[in-house]
Formats: sequence, C-alpha cells, structure tokens
Amino acid sequence: MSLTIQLRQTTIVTLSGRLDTESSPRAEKALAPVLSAAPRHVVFDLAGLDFISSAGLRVLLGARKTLSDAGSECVLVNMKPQIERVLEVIRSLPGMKLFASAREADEYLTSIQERVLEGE
Amino acid sequence: MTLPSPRSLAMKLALALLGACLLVYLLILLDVHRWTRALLLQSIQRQGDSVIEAAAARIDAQLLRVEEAPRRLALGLTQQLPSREALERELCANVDASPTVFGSAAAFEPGAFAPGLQAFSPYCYRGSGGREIKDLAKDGYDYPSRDWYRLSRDRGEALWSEPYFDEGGGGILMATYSVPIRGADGRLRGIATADVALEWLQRLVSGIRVGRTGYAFLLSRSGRVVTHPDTRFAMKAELAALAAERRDPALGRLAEWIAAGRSGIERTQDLRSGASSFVVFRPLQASGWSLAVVFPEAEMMADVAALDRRLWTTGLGGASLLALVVALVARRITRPLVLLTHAAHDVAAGRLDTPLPEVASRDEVGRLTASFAEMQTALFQYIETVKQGAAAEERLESELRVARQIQMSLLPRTADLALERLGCEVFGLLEPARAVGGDLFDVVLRRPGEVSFVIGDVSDKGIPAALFMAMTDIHFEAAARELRDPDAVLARINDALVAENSANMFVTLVCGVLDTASGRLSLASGGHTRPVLVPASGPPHFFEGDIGTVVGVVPGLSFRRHDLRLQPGDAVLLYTDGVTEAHDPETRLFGEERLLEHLCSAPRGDPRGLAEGVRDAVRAFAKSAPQFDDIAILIVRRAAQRTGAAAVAEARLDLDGGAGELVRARAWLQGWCASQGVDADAAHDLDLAMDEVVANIVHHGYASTAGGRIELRLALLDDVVRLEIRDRAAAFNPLDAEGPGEGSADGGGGLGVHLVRQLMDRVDYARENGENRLVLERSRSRCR
Repeated sequence: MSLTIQLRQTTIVTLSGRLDTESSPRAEKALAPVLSAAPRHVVFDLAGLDFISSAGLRVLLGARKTLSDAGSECVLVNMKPQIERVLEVIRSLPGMKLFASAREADEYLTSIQERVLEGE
Repeated sequence: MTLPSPRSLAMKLALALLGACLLVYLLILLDVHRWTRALLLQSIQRQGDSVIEAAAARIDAQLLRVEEAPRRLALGLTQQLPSREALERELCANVDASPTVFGSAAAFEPGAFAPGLQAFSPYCYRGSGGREIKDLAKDGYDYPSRDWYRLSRDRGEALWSEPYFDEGGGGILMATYSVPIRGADGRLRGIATADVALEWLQRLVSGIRVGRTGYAFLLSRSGRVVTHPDTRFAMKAELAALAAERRDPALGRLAEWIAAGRSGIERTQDLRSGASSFVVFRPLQASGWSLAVVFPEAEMMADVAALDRRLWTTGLGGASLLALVVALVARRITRPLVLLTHAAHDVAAGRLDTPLPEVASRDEVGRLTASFAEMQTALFQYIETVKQGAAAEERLESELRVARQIQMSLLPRTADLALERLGCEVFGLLEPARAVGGDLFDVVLRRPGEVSFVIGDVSDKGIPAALFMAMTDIHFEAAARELRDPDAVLARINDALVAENSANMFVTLVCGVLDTASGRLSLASGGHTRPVLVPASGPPHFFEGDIGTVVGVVPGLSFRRHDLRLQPGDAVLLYTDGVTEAHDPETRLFGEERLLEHLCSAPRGDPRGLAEGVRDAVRAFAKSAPQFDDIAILIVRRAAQRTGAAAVAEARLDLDGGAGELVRARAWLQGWCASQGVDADAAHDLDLAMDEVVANIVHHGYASTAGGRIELRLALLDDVVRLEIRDRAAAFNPLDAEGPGEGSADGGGGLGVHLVRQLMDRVDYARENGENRLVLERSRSRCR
C-alpha cells in the first residue's frame, strides 16, 4: 500500500495497492494528520487501489464521518471495477449511502473543479 | 318561561319593536312637558300681571293724590308771591289735607322769594309733637344740592325722588314729589314738594301673597330694593350689585330691564332662598318704580312634575306590557324555527329519522320546514345507498382476500416436493399487482428424476385473469402428468382453453421438463418472454429458440420443442413481463439488458437468492413508481453434484497465524487462480472473502491464543471454485458473529460478513471433529 497526500484547499489523497486487514491500520495512522487539518474538500483518488476489504472500508467510513462532523466533504474517484463492485455491495446496507456511485462522484468533482477554477 | 337568548330572533324582534315604541313615547313625553311648561309660564305671567295691576292701581291712586298738593302750590306761586305766613299756612294745609303726606315744602332759588334772601325753604311737617314748621335753610341744610331739589330743577320737570330715610324726621322711609315753580316769565323760582311716608306702601306690598310662598317686592328706578318681606334687603340692596355679587346673569338681566322701565318675566334665583323662581315685573305709572312678583318654580311646577311622573309611570307600564306581548308573539313565530334547529342538529349528528316539528302555517317558516323535510328524505336515501355500496364493496374485498388465498394455494409448495434429493432445486415467487393476478407458475414431479414446470401470463389482470389462470393451471397439471414433451403439453392446454374460452382471453406460457440425472432440458414457448439460462459458471444468456404463439386462441396449434443440456449447478430462469416491463418514475423500462446485467454479477448458488435478487433489483429500479403488472419468477436449477465429483485441481496451505501469513496466503491464492483459469473477478472475490474470514478467525476464534493453525484448501469442481477454511479454535462460525445491520458508519464486523455472503455463491459452516469448517463457493467465471 502506498499513500500520497497533497495538501491544498482541496486535499487529494491518493491510495494505491491493497487496503486490507493488514495495511488498513497503517493507512488510518497516515490519514490522521490530514483529517485533523480539517480541509474543506477531500478527494480520495483510488486509481491505483487494487483491493479493499472491510477493514479498508472502515478506514474510509471513519474518515468520511470525521470530515462530515467537521462540516467538510469527501469523495471517492477513479475506482477500479472490483472496488466499485465492493462498494456496490455495501451500498444496499443502511447508512451506507455515503459512497455515491462513480457517476455522482464525477459530477461532484467537476463542480469542485469549477469552483477552484473560478478562484474561490 | 325561560328568557330567550339575546341573540335569538324573538329577542331581536322584541327589542327592536320595544325600542322604537319607547323612542316615540319619549318624544311625546318631551313635547307634552314643554307644552305644559309653556302654558304654565303664560299663566304665571298673567297671574303676576293681574297681581301687579291691582297693587299698582292702589299705589298710583295714593301717589297721584299726593302729587296734587305740590302741583297746586307751584301753580299758586307762579304769579304774586304770598307772605311768608300765608305760605306757611298753605303748606300746613297741604299736610292736613292728606294723612299720607308727611310734610310739604317750598324751596326757593336765591333771591327768588325776596331780594337778598339767599336761601329760603319753609317746611311744614308732622313732628313728634304735632305739626311743626321750620326753615330748611336754617340749620345749615344745603337743600339746593339735594336730589329732590337738584334733579327737578335740572330737568325742569316734576318727578318722584328715590325713596330715602328721612334724616331729621325719626328715620322713617319716605319719598318726595318735586314740582318746579316758575314765574310768569318762565324763570325757575324754586321747587314745591310733598313728602310721603312709605310705610303704607311697605305694608301694602308686603301684604301681597302669591300661592303658598310667592311674594312681591318694590324696586326704585335705580334698582334699589325698596320693600321686601326680608328686612335684610329692604332699602339695603341694589339689584345690579346683588347680581354682580352672586354672579347671577339672570338677576343682572332683570336689573337691566327694570332700570330700562320694561315689563316681563324672568327665571332667576330667589333673593331670599336661592331657589329657582319666576319673577314677573312691571313699572308703576306714577313713580317709575317697578313692582316685581316672585313665583317659586318648585311650587309652580309641582303640577307639571306630577303630570310628568304620571306620564312616566303610564309609559313604563305600557312599555312592559308591550314587551311582553312582542316577546310572546315573537316566540310564537320563532318557536318552529327553534324546533327545526334542534332537529337539524340531530340530523347532522346522524339521527336521520329525527321527527320534524309540525308546522301547519303556510308562512316562510312553514315553507322552510317543508324544504327541510325534503332534504332529510333525500339525505336518508342517499346514505342508505352509500351504506349498501360500502357493504357490497366490503363483501367484494373479503371475496378478493379469499380469492387471493385460493390463488396462492394453487402455487406449488416446492419445498414439499423434496426435489433437492432428486438433484433439482426449484424456487418460484408470484407478486400480483392487485389482490389477485393472472400470472402463474407450477411444478409437477412426473416421476423421480423428471420435473415438469410451467410459467404463464394471462392477457388480463384482476379476477377474470385469475380465473383464466386457474383453468390454465388445471389443464397443465393434467397434461404434464400424462405427456412428457412440453410442446405436447402446450398443444393440449391450447386445445382445452380454446374449447372453453368464451371471453377471448389468452395466455402466454413457457413449459419445460428437466431430467435431473442427464441434465436434459426440454423447453417449449407459447408466445412468452424469453427464458434466461444461468450457468454455474460463465455469462448468463437468453434462450434462443422459437418463441411461438400465444395459447388459448387458435385451435389445433402446434409448438416447437428445444432440447438443451444443463450442467450441474446450471439454472434456467423463467419470468413474466412484469419484470422486463417494470418502469421507473421516468417510465424507462427495466428491459432484458438490465436483467442480464443484474444476473451477470448476482451470486448464483441459491435459486431463492437469485429469484429474490431479481425481484429486489426490479423494485429498486421502479423506486416510487407503482407496480403495474404482476410479477412471477421461477428458477429451476440442476443441483451441483459435488459429492463424489472429482476435483479438477486441488491445493492446500497451512497458516500458523503469525504476522505476514496473510500475505503468503494471498500470493498462494492468486497464483493458483491464475493457473486454473479462474477469472480476475472470481479471484478477487475469493481473495476478499479469505481476508475477511481469516481476519475474523484471528480476532475472534484465536483471540485468546497467541496464534493458531488455519488450514486453507482450494478446489475446482465443475467450474466452481471451492475455498475451504478450517481452524481448531472453539466452536465459532466466522460468518455468524454479527449481522450486516450492525455495519454502522465506522464499520462493525458485519461489514465483512455481508461482503462475503454477497460475493460468494454459497457459504456453508460445519463443526466437525473439533474443527470449524467453512466452505465458500464461487463460480470460476460469471460474465466472461
């Protein structure tokens, strides 16, 4: 697992490799400073993520909760098909609507980009 | 008798009439009062005038007689002046001539009586010791400056002085009449006078009585009160001064009028008592003094007040009587309205048979009651009609409930058929859009190892469709038991329905037979939706055979049979158009593509899960759009014959629970999958399931021990990958720990369990020989 964090007004967190039982605790630790900085928007770029288990999902859910409690928003983008499939499975659970589908995430991201371009 | 409410019609009517009557009566009363008062004033004036006239006549007679002496004296002194003695005799003769005359004098201008005589005024009067004579000029009495002399001299005419108290003569009240004496040449020689004591005048005026407390008083020209029954005022008060002192404008007006010598009547406060009084006044002829008569108002108006009281009493009595009569009449008129109102309340409360008040009259109230009665009858009939309608509807509803039960009981209880034992798994579900529907499915066990099944959709919905469906089902059961081939079964059903079909209905059907041992599947379609073949592994696809013609219309129709082969674990999915033609709120159809797409990723291990998955996908797609058509889904699956079936490939890995072991297991699983042609999705799902289960075993099963042995086995059976995970921890199903409902936002253990159940086709747990044994199965490939 590797993790790149770019800190700007919109923070982009790039996750790659595997997010499983073994690597998730490390990812959680690495994310903590990003979350405590309470950025307004966080984009999780999952282009390089090959695998996610329930432990990895819990890390993302926890991050999402922390951010929304602070009034921030986060979004997942560039999911590989198998990641999208796993998210699709948990989306039917109560309280799991948090992860919008890829299309909705794209629309959201576009709106953020427009706002950034307008020089917010 | 209760008082009617202030808002009732009766009360309003009574109050209005009574108010109007009282107003009219009040106006009359006021007019009468003013009129009687005016009459009374006239009578007071007349009475006062006559009293004054009588008194004035007597006073004037007296005073005129007194005036005679000085006139005669003055006339006598016009020519030759007599001697002093002769003059004195004449003066005394004047005094003697009349008892009213107190004294008489002749006062001369300087030098007029005798040359050199500056002042000379002989005066004969009634002294204390009889008649006496003196010269007023002696004693230093400056007579030319006195009013009686000065005024008469200056004006050159005869006049009466103001009454005054005689200074020398014992303090009696008197007045003097002065007459100018002129010589033959017209020059003034002096003044001749006669004094009169006014005691008689006082007695006379004081003696005047009007009514009980009325009286008269005399006023001089200057407004001085000459006589008054009250001694506080007689010769002491000036009317104008009193008016100013008491700030009484009426009294002031009276003073002005009297000074001007006018006569009339004035309402003012009595000098003595302060009570309101009428004063009638008139000047006397001779002296110019005025006589006033006082009529106390209270006394004069007593009669008017009595009349007023009487009129008020009569009026109030009359008004009470009038009120009573009006109230009674109004009640009589409005009573039917009140009864009608009560009746209307009862009717509104639902007592439709409430009797209406009897009204014989043909007035407005009578007509209203008649209209109300008509309305009541109409309402009664309407409600009866509605009641009957509701009862009929209720009956229909309960009949529909029973019909639905009957229809549902027609469906086969697939569990009872014990098909599993015969190598076949069947699951069907039916969801009518209304209480009953026209969709059907049925399964018949022809003989062990041979299952005949059907799914159908009647052209209509509701009760007619349900009846037609029941007929179809009966024909299927009979035909399927007798005939093996589905095309023959369809032909038999067709002929039977055509013979009985008077309603021009039809049904679409798919009929099939599965030989569970060989996997031979025969299908025949009668115009029905295309079945889907769902293999245990690999992409699902539509049945490509002949769709055929609808059943129940054309007699003697034949159908085509298609023979296929199902591998163990392969299934066929039959459905009605309630699935593919379901639409979302934007009226987009669910469609065959979407159905195939759903089946592609759906777990295939369990027919029930597969069927319900399709139904849930349709529901999720339709969202709030109402279900328009009946939905029926039937899945027939050839059981996967794993027992005894040889595995194509097998592998085994033992983990000791140490760190990094999962990494090793993952590499092992991925490598094996690649070598066996397991597709990437399946490998991923197995990888994920292994991660979840092993994590659960480590955290829960081996939680108390430092590390425990975990045994992993992989096998490929008929296109299905089986992952077996064994551990020696205490009895514990890693997938039983928590339900997926507990997977809250921060993620409970339920999240992983849910993922495993959804991604795997089959999950089995068993406790065997002190081992927890979990079997997970996943088709090698679903869509590719």
